[in-house]
Amino acid sequence: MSSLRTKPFAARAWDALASLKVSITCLALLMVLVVLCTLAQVRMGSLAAVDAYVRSFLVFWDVPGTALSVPVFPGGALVGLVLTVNLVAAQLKRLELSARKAGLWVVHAGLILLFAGEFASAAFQVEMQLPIQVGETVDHLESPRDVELALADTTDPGHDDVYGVPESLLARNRSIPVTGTPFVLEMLRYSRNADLRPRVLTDPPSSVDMGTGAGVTVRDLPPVTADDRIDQRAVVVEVLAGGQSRGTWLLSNGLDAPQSLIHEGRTWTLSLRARRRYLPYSLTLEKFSHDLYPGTDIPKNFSSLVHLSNRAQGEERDVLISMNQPLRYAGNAFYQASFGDGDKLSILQVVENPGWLIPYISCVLVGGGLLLHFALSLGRALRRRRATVGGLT
Amino acid sequence: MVPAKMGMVRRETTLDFREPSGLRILSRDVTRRSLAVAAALFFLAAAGCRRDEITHVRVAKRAPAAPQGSARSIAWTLPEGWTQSVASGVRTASLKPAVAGHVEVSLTVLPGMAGGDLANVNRWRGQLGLSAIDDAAIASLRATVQSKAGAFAMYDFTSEGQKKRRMIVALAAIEGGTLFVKMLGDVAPVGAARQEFISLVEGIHVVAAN
Repeated sequence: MSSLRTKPFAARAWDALASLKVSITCLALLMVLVVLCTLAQVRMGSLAAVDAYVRSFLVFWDVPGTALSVPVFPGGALVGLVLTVNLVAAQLKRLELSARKAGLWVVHAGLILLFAGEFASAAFQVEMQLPIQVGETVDHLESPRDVELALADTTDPGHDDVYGVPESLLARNRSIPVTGTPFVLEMLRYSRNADLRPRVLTDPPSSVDMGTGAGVTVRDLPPVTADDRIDQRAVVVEVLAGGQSRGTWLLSNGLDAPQSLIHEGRTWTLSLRARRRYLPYSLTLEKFSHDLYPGTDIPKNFSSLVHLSNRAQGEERDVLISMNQPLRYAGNAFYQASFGDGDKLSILQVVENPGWLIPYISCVLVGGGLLLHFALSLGRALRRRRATVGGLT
Repeated sequence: MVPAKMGMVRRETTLDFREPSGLRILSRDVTRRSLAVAAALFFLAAAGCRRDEITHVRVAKRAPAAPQGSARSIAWTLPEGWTQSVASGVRTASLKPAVAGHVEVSLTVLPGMAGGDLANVNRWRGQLGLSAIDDAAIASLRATVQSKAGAFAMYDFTSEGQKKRRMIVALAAIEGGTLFVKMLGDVAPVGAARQEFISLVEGIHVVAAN
């Protein structure tokens, strides 16, 4: 056997990467992260805590009294990545490529697939909502938490050209040219959470001189932490066209009605709204059912009977979506999530996750691999026993 | 352990550069390491591959979707002679009473409680140069106006000094927000339009959206 002193660096790094110590260290770090994330939920809310501790590569700490944010602990994504590579390396290094170890190969493949699936979900999964009234036809999904600045050309009687500027651009960019439109948006203010009040003369001067916001005062608030509430965003934006100002506007997801301006004969609307993803098909809510157990107020069943219309595919059919029977269509899964407005509003949760099958496949692989390993081990043990008994007789 | 047969050499699949076939083993091991590194890079790339960009989509016009949780909007009847600068049904409107003098009426809807009664009353009083009041005093200043959309709390303030200004405000929680109906102007025209202002508030109702 080679001594460690003569081994090249690459070989030593490979040994370290595949070592059991790395596996145990990663598992210990994951346990610490679970505790930290659980404690942080009280302060930040569950979604923000998961984003900060589990789905990030590093956990940051805001240095008090400064604008500094320094990394202080590996995040769940980094630990999971190291553990995945460790599992792959250990399997490739230690396991013999032989039929007697086939079961263990299958088990390890299942575990690695499970980790890979979680990374895929984190990277590609999108969760949105579809609130729909009885009798209403909807062709778009809405994000439950993200907003976008929607700039729409509504001049044409048959269609609207809608440009969506994501919140991440509003928060960090000063000047946003909206390609395809004559406009450049100059961001003057971005509030993650704000209180909107009627304006009085004693309020500080405002740069807003157009639209609904001219009569509103904005006051910054801390971001919400409760999972059942969302932040009320507010942005102050100056709209430029051809270098000329078309006014300074206050937009907020708390102001429902879009505000409009006319430029060179075309009518444009501005709004800050839940981020939308438009679908190539539509759903019409025919009927919403809310059943209770007889004689009680305990809900028994929620279901939405929807009509699915996809004209490009020539598809027209009714589908019943209930709590345990989602509609899976065109890469999306529509779940019955909530309801309101006296049973006239149904809220469907829509999940797009190309890796949704991976956990199921990995469970089959792990279970199958364990069974295979057990069967192979049992077979060897029985053959040894027969050989022993045969030798004695 | 099964003994090797004559002429058969057992090789372990572990790295040993001294073996005559070390190059073959090294090559296999490098392949294994490369696979592991490639897997790590793939995961890193997958985690960071989503970017936010401005989207553009052409959408066929439909009947306007109702706001989540509500299929209704607020409407009112204009008193005779009054003019309105924004059409009925839009969230904010400016009205002009049919009286001479400086007076204007505004309707504004803001989400949630929009600060609450006491905070807003003290802001309006401050605007007129009046001192702030507390919860105990606000009750004595409040009048109630019943409308089809619910009960409005109404407050009437007059400033002090040589040139007096008067403000009458009615506010109510409607459809998850707060509707403010505010009349502000010189004392005489506000007084002349007061009864029609109350009629305006009484006529506020909620209608189904188109």
